[in-house]
Amino acid sequence: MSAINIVHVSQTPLVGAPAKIAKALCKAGFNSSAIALTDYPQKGPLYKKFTDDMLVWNGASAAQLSLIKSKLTDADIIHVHNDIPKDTVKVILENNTRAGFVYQVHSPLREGPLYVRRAESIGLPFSAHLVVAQYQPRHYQDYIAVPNLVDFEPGYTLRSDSEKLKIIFSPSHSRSGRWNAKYSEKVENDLKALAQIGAIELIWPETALHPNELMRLRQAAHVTIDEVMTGAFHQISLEGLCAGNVTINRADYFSKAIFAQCTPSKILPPFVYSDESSLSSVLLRLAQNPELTRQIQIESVRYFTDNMLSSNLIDNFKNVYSKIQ
Amino acid sequence: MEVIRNFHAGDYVFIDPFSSPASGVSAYIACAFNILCSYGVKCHVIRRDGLEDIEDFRRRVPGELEKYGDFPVVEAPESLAATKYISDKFYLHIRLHCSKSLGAAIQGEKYLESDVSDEQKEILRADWISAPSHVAVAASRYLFKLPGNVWVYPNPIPPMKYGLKGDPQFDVAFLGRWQSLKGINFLKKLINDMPDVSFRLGVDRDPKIKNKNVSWMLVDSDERKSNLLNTSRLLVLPSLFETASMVGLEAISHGVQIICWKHLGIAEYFDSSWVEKVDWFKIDDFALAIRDRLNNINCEVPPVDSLNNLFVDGFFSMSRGSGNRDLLVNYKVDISLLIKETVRHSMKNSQGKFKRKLNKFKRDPKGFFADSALAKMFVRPGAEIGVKKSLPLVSSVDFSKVNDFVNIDNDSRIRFGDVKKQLYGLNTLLLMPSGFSMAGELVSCLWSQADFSPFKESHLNIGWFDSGVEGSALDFINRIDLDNKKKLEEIDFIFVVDAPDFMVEGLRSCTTGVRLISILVDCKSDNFEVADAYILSSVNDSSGFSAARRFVKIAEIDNPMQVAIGMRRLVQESKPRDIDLLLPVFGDFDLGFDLIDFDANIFQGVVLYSGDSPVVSDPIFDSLINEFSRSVKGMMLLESVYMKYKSLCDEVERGGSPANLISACLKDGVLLDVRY
Repeated sequence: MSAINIVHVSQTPLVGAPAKIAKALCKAGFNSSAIALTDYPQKGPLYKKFTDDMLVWNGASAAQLSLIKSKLTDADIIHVHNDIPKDTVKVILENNTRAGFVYQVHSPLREGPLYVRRAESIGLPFSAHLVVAQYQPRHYQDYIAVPNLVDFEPGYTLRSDSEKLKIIFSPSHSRSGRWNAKYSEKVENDLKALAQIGAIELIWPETALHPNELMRLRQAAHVTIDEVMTGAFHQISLEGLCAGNVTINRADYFSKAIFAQCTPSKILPPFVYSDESSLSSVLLRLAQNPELTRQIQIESVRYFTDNMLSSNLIDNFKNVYSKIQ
Repeated sequence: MEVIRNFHAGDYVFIDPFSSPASGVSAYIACAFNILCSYGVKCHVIRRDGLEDIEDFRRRVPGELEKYGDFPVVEAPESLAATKYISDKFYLHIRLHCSKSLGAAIQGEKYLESDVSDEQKEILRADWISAPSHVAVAASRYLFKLPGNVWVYPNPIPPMKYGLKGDPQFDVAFLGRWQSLKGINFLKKLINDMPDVSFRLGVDRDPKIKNKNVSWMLVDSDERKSNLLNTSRLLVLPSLFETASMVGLEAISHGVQIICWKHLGIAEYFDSSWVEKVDWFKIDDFALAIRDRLNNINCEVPPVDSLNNLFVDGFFSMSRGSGNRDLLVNYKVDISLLIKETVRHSMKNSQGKFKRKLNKFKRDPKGFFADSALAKMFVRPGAEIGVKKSLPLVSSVDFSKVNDFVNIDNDSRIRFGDVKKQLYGLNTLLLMPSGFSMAGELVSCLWSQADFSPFKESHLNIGWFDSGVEGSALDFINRIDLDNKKKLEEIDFIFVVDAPDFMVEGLRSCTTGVRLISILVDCKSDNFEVADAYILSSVNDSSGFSAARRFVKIAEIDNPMQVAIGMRRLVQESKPRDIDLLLPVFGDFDLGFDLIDFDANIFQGVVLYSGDSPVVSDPIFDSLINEFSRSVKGMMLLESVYMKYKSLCDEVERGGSPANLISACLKDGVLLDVRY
């Protein structure tokens, strides 16, 4: 029996990750939707940026609430992301006695080594445990790794010989912890210095553009810089490939290898490796070599097209669902 | 492999990979060279240049050999495998002087398996193997496979420097490098116990000894050596191990008698008129022997010729392939008996333990040396030999007078206090269940270690938990608010006794930098992946144990001193260090090539991978690592990381798959540089 109704539930929009899965499932012939219990704080920069394709419970109108409840009741599979409160669990269990449950962890509860497993304490009978295929699988080594999806069509602008190297970079905040400490003052200084001497053109977007706008900017750039501090890569790297950017991060072998297992070709993604101290030389080398830039750009977008279209990656989820019930 | 070859016909080339005035091998070569020349052998030496890298030297040797006629015979020590790159066409004579690896093993230090295997290869392809003593052969067998026919003949003695001397200034001389292998800890005790005897130390650096009966001089030339020997009555040789001892031979050539342990190579060369032989490590007997001799100095002419004749006989018999293979029959020592005696001597307690030790020794001699009471005797300067500071054990600890760092019960928020006294990287918390019967004794043992600050009464933080506490790790974490988590971050080591798994996991997950060690006395665990390390009874046979990153097993878990020592060991191996070296876990590494560009600021280890990219059917990390590990050819870890996972590393060194080790490292955020 194939599962047709799949409902994703998460506490917050989780930067749109569950919604993208739902969307891709719909394209693949399922009936799927994503419910967030609340949006990001109203005063904050992420408010309303990721809810285009989601239902938001908190503050929903009566009609929307009714829709939400019926989706939960009719679901064949309920796919829980990260954590949901006991009240929501109660509502689910009261209204739906036959759904299968899937658990997916995106980010740990707090900074590590706090990878205390939360699936057991949610109170739902999960048939499958999933983990986002970036650095996280090393903390959940027995969970099934699944990729984050990119909901854009690939599109890119090849650098011409006369153009400066265009780099798009989103700064992050100073945080502590092994996997959260993405910020680097040196990186920011180096980028500004390179821009100042005219070696590169730096696109430094204001905080929290709408994802669509950000992607358009990225598609006009040549290089995406993810963080070069922790050894992980993030959604931004995946989007960098989609936008035909030379995608720079410090992802270690195992982050890339587990991601590769989720792709059709099982080949490692063509990220360009750099750490904090080598970044400026990597960028200078690219800046001085438009041909090299183009080569990597093409490699990046080709990898994306061959491996990372939602229609391909959604198979990872289909495989999981097909084994339930 | 017996080959009849006449050494007279061709050239004879010594290889000296040490090339230092302090090296016994260099001294031996100088001596042997002269004697053989006087017998008409055309001798040469290829020496390593001062700061020349050993690999560069190895590669230079074949070229140098081309100068010496068609079929030179090459002699080299087994140490450092200096002959690695010479072709099989050369006749090779390997002499077992005392491998650096062996020396390290005896001192319980790490040695590179790859070095041993290089040296082993040379031994196996040599045409002749000789050794300067039976003890050298027996000891070498622990590390190497030796052919059945090893020639035993002594090192030659330098020409006599004996001359009539006036009244010597000093009673007892010591000559050699100031390092533990030379027995300096025994020497220190002798100096302390015999304040009326004057000691003169001829060493390579300031030994920093304040006793009034001691003076020292820097010995960096033959003149200074002679000067020291001519002004002393006796020489002591308290080394842990010697295959011969050029120092001893030099002393004898000056007419100075020596006192040494009976298992040292030189004891096989002479009778007691020149070499007073003391039972292994009986320091009081050693002191008695000194007093005895001082009253009874031997005035005979040193037997230089007779020893050198043995050298010459042995050498030429070997070259002919016939004749007496053992020229040191007279003072042979039964090494296995000696080892048994020492084991018994160091195991003062029950028969059972002695048997177990002996079995371990029989099963795994290398491991035994690296990890035994014997090694502990060697390795901790001053620890066993009486120079340690310790306070008397407090008979009963009054805990009501002790400020608790924390009290954990079932209901309320968990609040932490402030650390007693800030010790960079070493703040320690001992967390015990209320009513823990061993509490007083354990704390008393910890406080008594006056030379170890983290455990002193003024520094050790103590806390309690209600043994009925229940819940999940998540609940536990949620009972600690942000401010209190910050307070806990001040602690570097948490030792928790008999805590339930969820509490161990909760504590571990609260902070990023803490090293959490679970001590299991009355309690069992089901999940050995939560704590960083475990201290538990040797008979603990819980399943799931193989996943533990690091554990210390204790014979008597209810012996508070043993637990305290285990705790200390774990703190010492994990404390912040200045130099963090890459240690090999397994595999062959071409240190120059394979580690190019290794950046220890970014990575904590290196993995050599050869093979196709791993592919697994289900994208599960476990499966990926298992598949990946099958093609891992080698692995090295920074020492600080190695120690965290020592038990898992040991498993890999024993031939297990590196999968568990790699998983544990990655889980904890260790970054490995994968090279493929």
